[in-house]
Amino acid sequence: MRAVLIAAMSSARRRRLQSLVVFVVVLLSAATTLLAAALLIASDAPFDRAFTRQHGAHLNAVFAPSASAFDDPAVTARSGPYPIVEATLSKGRQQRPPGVVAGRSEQSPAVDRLELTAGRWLTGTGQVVLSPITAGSTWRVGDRVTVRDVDLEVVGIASSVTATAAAWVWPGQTDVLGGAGQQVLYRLSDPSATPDLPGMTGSTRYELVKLQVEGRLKPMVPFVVAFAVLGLVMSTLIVVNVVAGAVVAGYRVIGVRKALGFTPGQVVAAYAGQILLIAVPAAVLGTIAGRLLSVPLLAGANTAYSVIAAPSVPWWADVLVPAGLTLLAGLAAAGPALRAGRLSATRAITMGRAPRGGHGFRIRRALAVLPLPRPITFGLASPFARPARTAVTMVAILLGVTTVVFAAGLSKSLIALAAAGNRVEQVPILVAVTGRPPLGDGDAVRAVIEDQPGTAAVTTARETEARVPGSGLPLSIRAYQGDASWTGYPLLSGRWYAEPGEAVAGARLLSSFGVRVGDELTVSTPGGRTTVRIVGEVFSNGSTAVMIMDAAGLGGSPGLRGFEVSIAPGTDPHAYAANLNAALGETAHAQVSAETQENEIVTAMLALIATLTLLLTAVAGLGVLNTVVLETRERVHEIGVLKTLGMTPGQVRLMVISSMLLIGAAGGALAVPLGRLLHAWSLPIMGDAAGLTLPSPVLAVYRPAELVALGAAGILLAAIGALVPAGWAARSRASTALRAE
Amino acid sequence: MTDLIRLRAVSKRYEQTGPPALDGVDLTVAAGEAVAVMGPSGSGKSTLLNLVAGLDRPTSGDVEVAGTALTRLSEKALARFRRSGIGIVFQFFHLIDDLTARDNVLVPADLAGIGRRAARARATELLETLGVAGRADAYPAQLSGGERQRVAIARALINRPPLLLADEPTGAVDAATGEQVAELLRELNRNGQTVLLVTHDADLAKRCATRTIEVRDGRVTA
Repeated sequence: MRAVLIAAMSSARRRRLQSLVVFVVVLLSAATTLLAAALLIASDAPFDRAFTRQHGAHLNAVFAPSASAFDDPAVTARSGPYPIVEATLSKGRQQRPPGVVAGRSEQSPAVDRLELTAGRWLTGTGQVVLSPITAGSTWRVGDRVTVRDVDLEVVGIASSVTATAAAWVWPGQTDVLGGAGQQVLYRLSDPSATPDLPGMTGSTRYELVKLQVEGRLKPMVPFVVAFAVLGLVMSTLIVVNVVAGAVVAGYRVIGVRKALGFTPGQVVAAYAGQILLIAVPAAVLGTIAGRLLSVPLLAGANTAYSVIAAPSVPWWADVLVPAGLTLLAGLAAAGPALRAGRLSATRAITMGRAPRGGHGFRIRRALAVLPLPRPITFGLASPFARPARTAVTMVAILLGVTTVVFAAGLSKSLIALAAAGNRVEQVPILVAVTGRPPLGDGDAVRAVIEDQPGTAAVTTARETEARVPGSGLPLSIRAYQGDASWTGYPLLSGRWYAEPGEAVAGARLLSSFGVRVGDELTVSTPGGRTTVRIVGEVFSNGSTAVMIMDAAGLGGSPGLRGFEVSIAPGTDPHAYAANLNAALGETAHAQVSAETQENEIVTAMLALIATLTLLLTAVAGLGVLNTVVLETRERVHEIGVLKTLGMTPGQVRLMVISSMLLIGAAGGALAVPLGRLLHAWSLPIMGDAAGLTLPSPVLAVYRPAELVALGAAGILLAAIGALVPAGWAARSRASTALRAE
Repeated sequence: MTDLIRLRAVSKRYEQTGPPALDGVDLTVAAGEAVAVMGPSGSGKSTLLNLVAGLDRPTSGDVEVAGTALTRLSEKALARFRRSGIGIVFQFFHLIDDLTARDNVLVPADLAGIGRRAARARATELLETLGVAGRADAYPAQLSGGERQRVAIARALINRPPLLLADEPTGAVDAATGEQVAELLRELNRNGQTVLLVTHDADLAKRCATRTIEVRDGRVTA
């Protein structure tokens, strides 16, 4: 046993660089695994978890200022009444859309416990706490904002899971609150119950908020889950590859030890022990690093999910991740060590020392006649001399580049998905209407927008809830006044509506009501019954069934949703929105659609994907470095000979880097179709999971030039992995290399 | 006769403490000479050869070979110098396993950028001279010890270097082959090739060298 332990420790010490690479790979893999697990946790029912944790309000009720009775038997807990007012917050020229400002002294009452993400809670008048949506990315603690002409200091940023207010001020801030209404937040014994509250003038149920949040999230969750799973799988494969490669490199030593009397079991124990000596501290440190990294990442994820207070990674992950990775590394080492242990001593020494002949020699000869500098042909030929080592390197490159190809595709699909849903290119400006003076109604607002310099097109968007007679399922009808064919809904099949009796519909509507393009559908709206023919299917990323049609085809007067505006080429959307807001006054609010919350979610998601991609690429790069180091070490004698024969340090560098080029090119060439296949295979599955039919811009994201560039990433990864060992080889003294023999 | 090798007060230390591997060595070898460097293991023979070959640098002193001061050359310039300035024959041949005998011989010519046709003609000529032309397409593993050493000598001579260094060239071959190698070196010297031979075999030194020097504890003693 002592001999085994000494052998394990001396091997780990002797091959310091290789031990370091295994250490860093296991460390990064542990960090990646923990992050991936954290991401999976964050994407699992984020709203429900936040709702439970924050004692979210089942019902957000608004009462008249004079109301005084707020209780009902169905109510199990309540917070409030809080005085509220709907107001616009501004900081300099920046203005937020009108929202509820509530007067509230308690941060954590029985219902709706607010979670602070920055600063502190209110202590008196003159202060305001903003919701994360109101704060956005530009308003911070310490800023001064104006609400109803009152100057307030931002002292904190806090989140309510059911978004009960855009901002909170001290109840005594009467110059802001002004007695417009009262807000009471309820927990109900039966969340679906409708309490009898006589003075209630308006309400929002939590199901609606949940539907909105999850509707925004649902299409994205499968993407995040897919990436987290990719992170787990890739980390596992790379650890196995690096560890197995390290053991294969030690075959000669295994043979020597067998000759000295080691049994196969002792050989396995020595190698597994050597790897475990490195893997255990690496996995523990990696888990700690992953946990530290997960704090900002989970915060980002939860901002993306519109909920805050990151769920912490459960304690068992801290045990499971290092234990799992250590076990994995041990098993990865035991496999090849067991094989080597079963070989005869001389066979193990031979396998660990001599390159394989046959095809390798013939290919080297064939390459030697190419009109290329000798160091390059030497380098290009070397992978063929050691097919097993080459396979290990190629797998490392394949995994790394596949990750990059898949991650790049996933990022582009996510952007395309958001663009398809938000239509930010076609509709760069959205205008919401408050109905307040000076303009009053929608027609007047539309006239102002049409007259605004830079306006290319404008359409009035109305919306109404509807039902299909005989069905209990609700559907939403979006009705446009005037031409709306330019608004950019991706058409999946059929055509855009051409007349009032026609409509296009989202996949959820078609599946919910069992209709197809070409069918007629009768819907019941507050304005009466209408029959329309579905002439096309459009992409819709919401969780509700949506039908889009001309407003002229609907009876009654559907509610005004706002205006969708296209601007002339070359017009700055921010300047346009600012000028339009100045012209609209308090009646309406124009916003650059790219800055809406949905797009901040995409940004946060992309940051997560980029972090994981970076980690995985680093792990893959280290895998390559590891194999090149092994390869260079093995060839140290040959390099020494070549140096004595007159190979310059530059030529040695060229030879070592060339030795990786073919492997890199082959790995990259295989990884591109593999990454594409993975993308093409997984995207529709993700779409199905989210109940979406994905439009072609979401699926066909790879351009030929990009694929060539991604394929070249294999060569780049291999070359980068080879750079450091190439430098060592170039600097090594020939006399030392020859003595090493 | 002009001096081909000139060592002036050359010392080499591998470690700060401990005795030097070479200690203030002065040595000159004239063109056309065959000098045998003898001495026991660890005396500094191989260090001397490495310094002359430009494979290592002295701690102090000057090494000049064929008029080139090696101590002032960069690693790149040293490599270029080795290509055409010297040929080295090792005890363990140091042939490249996955190249044929002919391709092994061609390596220095390829690195020196000599035209393929001319290099092949020279390689064929050398292999014929050394009696291994029939084994030109064999890999080192398929060659006997003597054949390997002949191929190694052919490789050392392909760029017509003015100086041939031989480090225990018969140390890894049987007696009969050793005899052939010794004869080959003697023949080369007779034809004008300067040879610096490192050996602890007195018989070999006697048969091949026109002059013998002895190295002990890092100093030239005779």
